[in-house]
Amino acid sequence: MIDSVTAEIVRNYLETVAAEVIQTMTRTSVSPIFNEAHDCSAGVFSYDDREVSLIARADAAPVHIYAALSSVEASLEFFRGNLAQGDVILVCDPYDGGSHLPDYTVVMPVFIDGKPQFFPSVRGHMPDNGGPVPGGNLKARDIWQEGFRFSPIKLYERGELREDVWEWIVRNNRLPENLRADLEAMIGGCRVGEQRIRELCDRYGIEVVLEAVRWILDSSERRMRERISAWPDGEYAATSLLDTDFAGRRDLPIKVTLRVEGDEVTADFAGSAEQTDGIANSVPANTLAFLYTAFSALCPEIPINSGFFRPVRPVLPPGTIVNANEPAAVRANTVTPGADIGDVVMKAAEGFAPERVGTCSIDLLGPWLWGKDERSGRSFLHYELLCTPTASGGVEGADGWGAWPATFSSADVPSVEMSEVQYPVLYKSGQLVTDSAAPGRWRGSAGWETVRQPHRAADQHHSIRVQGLYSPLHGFCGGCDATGNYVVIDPGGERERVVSTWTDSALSPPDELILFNSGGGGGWGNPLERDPELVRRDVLDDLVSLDGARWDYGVVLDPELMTVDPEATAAERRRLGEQRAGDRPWLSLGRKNVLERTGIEPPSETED
Amino acid sequence: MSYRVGIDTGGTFTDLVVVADDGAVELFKTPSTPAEPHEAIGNALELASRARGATVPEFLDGCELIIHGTTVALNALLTLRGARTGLLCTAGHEDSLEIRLGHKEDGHRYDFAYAPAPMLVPRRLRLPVRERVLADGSVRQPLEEDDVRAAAELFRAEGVEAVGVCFLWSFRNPAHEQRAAEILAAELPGVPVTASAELLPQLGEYVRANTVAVNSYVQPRLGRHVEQVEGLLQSYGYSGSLRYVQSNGGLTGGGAFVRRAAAALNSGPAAAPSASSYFAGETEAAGIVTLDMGGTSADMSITEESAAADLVKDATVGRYPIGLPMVNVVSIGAGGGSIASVDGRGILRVGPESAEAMPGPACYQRGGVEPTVTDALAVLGYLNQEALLGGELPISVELAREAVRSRVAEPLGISVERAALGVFEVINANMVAGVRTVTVERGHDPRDFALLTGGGATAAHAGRLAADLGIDEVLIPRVSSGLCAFGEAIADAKHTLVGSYPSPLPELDAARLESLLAELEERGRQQLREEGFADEEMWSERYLDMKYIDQVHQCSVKIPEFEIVPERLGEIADAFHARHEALYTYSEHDNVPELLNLEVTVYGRSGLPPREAGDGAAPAAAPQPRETRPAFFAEHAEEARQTPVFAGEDIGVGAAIQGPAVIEEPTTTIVVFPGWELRLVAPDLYRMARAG
Repeated sequence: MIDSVTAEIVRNYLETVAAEVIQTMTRTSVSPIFNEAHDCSAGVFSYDDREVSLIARADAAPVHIYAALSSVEASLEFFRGNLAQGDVILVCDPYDGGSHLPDYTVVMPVFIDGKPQFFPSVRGHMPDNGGPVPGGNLKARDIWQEGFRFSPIKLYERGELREDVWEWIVRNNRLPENLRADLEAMIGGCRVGEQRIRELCDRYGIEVVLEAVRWILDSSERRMRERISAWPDGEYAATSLLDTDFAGRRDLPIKVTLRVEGDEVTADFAGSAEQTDGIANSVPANTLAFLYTAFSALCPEIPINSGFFRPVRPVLPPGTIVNANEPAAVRANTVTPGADIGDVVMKAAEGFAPERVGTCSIDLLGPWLWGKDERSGRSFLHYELLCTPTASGGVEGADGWGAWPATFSSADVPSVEMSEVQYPVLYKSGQLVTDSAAPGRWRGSAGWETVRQPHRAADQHHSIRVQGLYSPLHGFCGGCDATGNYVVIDPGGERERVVSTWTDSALSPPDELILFNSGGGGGWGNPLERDPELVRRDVLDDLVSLDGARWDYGVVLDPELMTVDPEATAAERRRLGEQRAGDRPWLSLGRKNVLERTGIEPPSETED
Repeated sequence: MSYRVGIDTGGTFTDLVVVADDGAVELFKTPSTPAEPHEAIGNALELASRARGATVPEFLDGCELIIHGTTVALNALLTLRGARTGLLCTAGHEDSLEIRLGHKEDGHRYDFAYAPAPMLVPRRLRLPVRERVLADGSVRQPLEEDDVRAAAELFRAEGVEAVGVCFLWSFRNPAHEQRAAEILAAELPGVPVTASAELLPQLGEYVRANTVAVNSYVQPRLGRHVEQVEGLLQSYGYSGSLRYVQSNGGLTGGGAFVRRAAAALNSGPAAAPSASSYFAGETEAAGIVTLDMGGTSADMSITEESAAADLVKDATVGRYPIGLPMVNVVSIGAGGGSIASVDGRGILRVGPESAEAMPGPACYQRGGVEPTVTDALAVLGYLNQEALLGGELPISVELAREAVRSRVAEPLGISVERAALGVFEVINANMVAGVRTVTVERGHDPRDFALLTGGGATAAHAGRLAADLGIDEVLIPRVSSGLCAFGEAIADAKHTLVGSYPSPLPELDAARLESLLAELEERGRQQLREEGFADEEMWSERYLDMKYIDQVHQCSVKIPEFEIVPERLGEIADAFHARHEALYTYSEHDNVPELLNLEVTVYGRSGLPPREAGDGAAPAAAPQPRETRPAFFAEHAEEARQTPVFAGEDIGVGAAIQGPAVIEEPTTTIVVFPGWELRLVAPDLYRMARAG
């Protein structure tokens, strides 16, 4: 029997291995989506002749690494009996271990004693994946229209590079040199992982390491069961609405019922919308990734690995938006409906783990721009990471902060200066917006507004998708919903137009401004219970206006002295408490501002 | 005979080391006085003077140079007791510090309740200035000087004590920043102003703004400390020179030390590599890993074969990134006082919580009941069973056993000795992981390195750590427990100058690169001349930050010494490919390397003659152990081995001791594990290697 000291040392070592894999990858890749935004992850998987297990994950985008579990399974299944040391496998097909076509997973079997026992793996979102439109075909109606699709394939076979395969893959891509370098970086990361795993086995012996792996998995399973047992048995349901499928359907429900029974929990997505004609369909790898993301966020103290997921039983009805049948289009799924899946699981968990819930997703704000860079004469394709959604929410004990919810925060927002070198663009501003933080006892992060202007760009085209304007991310335990995402082209100008769902067109004039507003994450708890001193501090920092302090929080400040008026505050809070207890839904000042600015009409209350 | 003095203010102790011209070393330790750190310096001077039967003025009269390392700036930042700070930004970009590139720190990514990093400059003091410079340095929008004046007025009303300025692209064209700084200086007399392009002329506004904010934030506190130290020394009539250690390991005068306060954060630990280089002649290894383990933390750094310290430009201190070159010191919560506990699911954890100085380890008999690493070592028989620090600190092994038994052994259902070995193993694994981050993650194989011990606690662990890391050789200076103060006393002057020349290598103008580097070099040399160095005492190193054309993260490449002409650019490319491969397992010879930033480090030799390697020609007689005592080793966990215990003073140069053995020095204890051999190779240094 292995002792816990050794097992824990092995566990920490494997976590370090996963970290080294992803560091190698992000530091050497050429695409900003990896080296700046870190839209990727790495993990170490084990295989015991029966099942593949995630045994360590990098501190990186979790939605990737949980999905990579499916990719490793698909690799083993596809190459059953035909795997050798030195093979390097690439997986992308959403219907065979992938999430959506641009997510590429590199899987590297590490043979020990003649058997593939470990798999370091890196998964990342490639900037392009071929197909009719750069960055993804908004108008796709099936998987073939979405781009270049291939089955699990070997990039190296027994250590030999398969040049024909590489050529075939990179020639189906708009950024062949980028793709080649990024794949090198991913493989480099896995090789570092292999080296470290071999060093571990040399030091302890494979038997000890395998025993430690079993211990690691069992230990997380045991702790997860204990955690679930502490939650009251019952059924907890919630519904989120997806604004649009980009194909004409609106307000599509994503529904989950979490059944807590003893030390197990079932996540049943029955009642979710039927799969759509558009690109907003999820597949199991992706749906499970968001389900696991939410659960891992509920239990930050438990080491995350496959053992952790054993007591969680997913039910994904086929033919729905969470488990679409081939050949449905899936391009948007890693955020749409992925984000809604994570968010709705959290919302349902509010019923049994209120002290743990908070925003764990981002809602889509996806701008792609392409054209010609007049500085170099080369064409460019810019996935605008400075304008992507920021959605950090409040949780019990802490306000939301920074850009991203904890689960996505491995992703970075690039620096303005680096972006201005890499792309023909000028940033007029990137600022937090007054009154845009979702109110709560613990508020969400403030919304973020970026204004960009093309600079020495020609023939510029853009494709912008927006979600979460009509039905923003949830607030929790009485906290307000997020204020919502939107885009305005030519803000304040003669040709001003609001983008509430999507647009796909050329810019004219060529240096037209675009404003991106990202509405932050949800609030937690009743805003009328927020410490007035915290409200006052936000007012001093102009994150909350004097009006907002009164409207959202019932806090009355002396506008000269900037001190809290305790009596007036108590009275105002009493009045607001009674008013909000009625049926009339109230809107936060930030949400009202967004509705006014965009002129949209949100759907009426959902029927839970 | 004259001497120089190194004074290191640490969290627990203030160490003072006297190094005579002939290399003789004395170490004095006194408790630090964190509220007024210069008081402990006074106490240390008293100790050193008394040891010579002299008054402090008499002692200082023989001193030609005092070098000081201090954690004052670091503490001001970590405890958030810095100045009320304002920041001017390009209008529209004031929230960069708060968005933090969207980043949450490693280890906290999944922790929703992880609180926001406190803003060193609150939003209301980050003020917009209308101006805009573009990436090519051209001006798109001229500076609105009235915005600067309005900001100054607000800063005055708010009682701001320090101001930073960080405009976009200022490092390409600093005119706006310089003018804004001028206006601020005129409007706010007595308030120090930091301009970003002067402090850190490099691309990346977030890190630049943070570095500026930190600089302003800690500057007033550091300035006060420097005034106090200089006042103290003046009061004793000291007339020699006084220099300070910067985060890059080099020395500078008080003015520059305060002006570049963000470069003072690592002032103490940065001196460790200088100590290690001093002993580098004793080893054939490719480099040295220095591990300095004290009461609450272990600091790790490396020194390469060239005796150059490993500098990083992406360090994070507290929760704030600093772009200035710093000696890469990784600090983890592993020390003699680290507390061992068993969590709810039967996992043994050690650290990062520490019993600190009070109550300290259970065996110190000051009321501590939680088992610490020191307690485990006492149980294992590695430490003197009666008293530590040469008899000055009595201990109770019974209390150590009781703490380990009740808090570790019983919950795990194992013997006390097995539990103590577990504590020892876990803390060692934590330190091994730390060493990996300073070696493996920086492209080095630790097996090519020697391990050098610093701090009082390391020598008991070093043999075990070396074994786990595959290291064959451990160097243990007798001055280990004051290693940083020693490193300070013998440090060379050093200035790191940075510049920027973004260009793909094929399009690069070799003559321009050469002249930019030469200019930086000359600036550094001029600074050294002003500090009293002669040209023949100076040397320099050139580094280029390079990357492949589409990559974002650059790596720092050391360039061989030659005049850069077009025909030799290929050698620069080769050096980059090799470095990339060492760091990341591959290089892309078909890809285009691109230059980003330049860095020149200029050194001034501070006079201590290079150390002569011990020859061990005349092996001294084998020393007699003072006693034997039972000790436990992982190989025979259930059974104690009778282990000889030697006193350091009994060991002559050249004498060898086979493991298992324990050597007790006044401020440190060396454990020689089975299979290892220890030799005193020179009066100031032990070397431990695998036996046979």
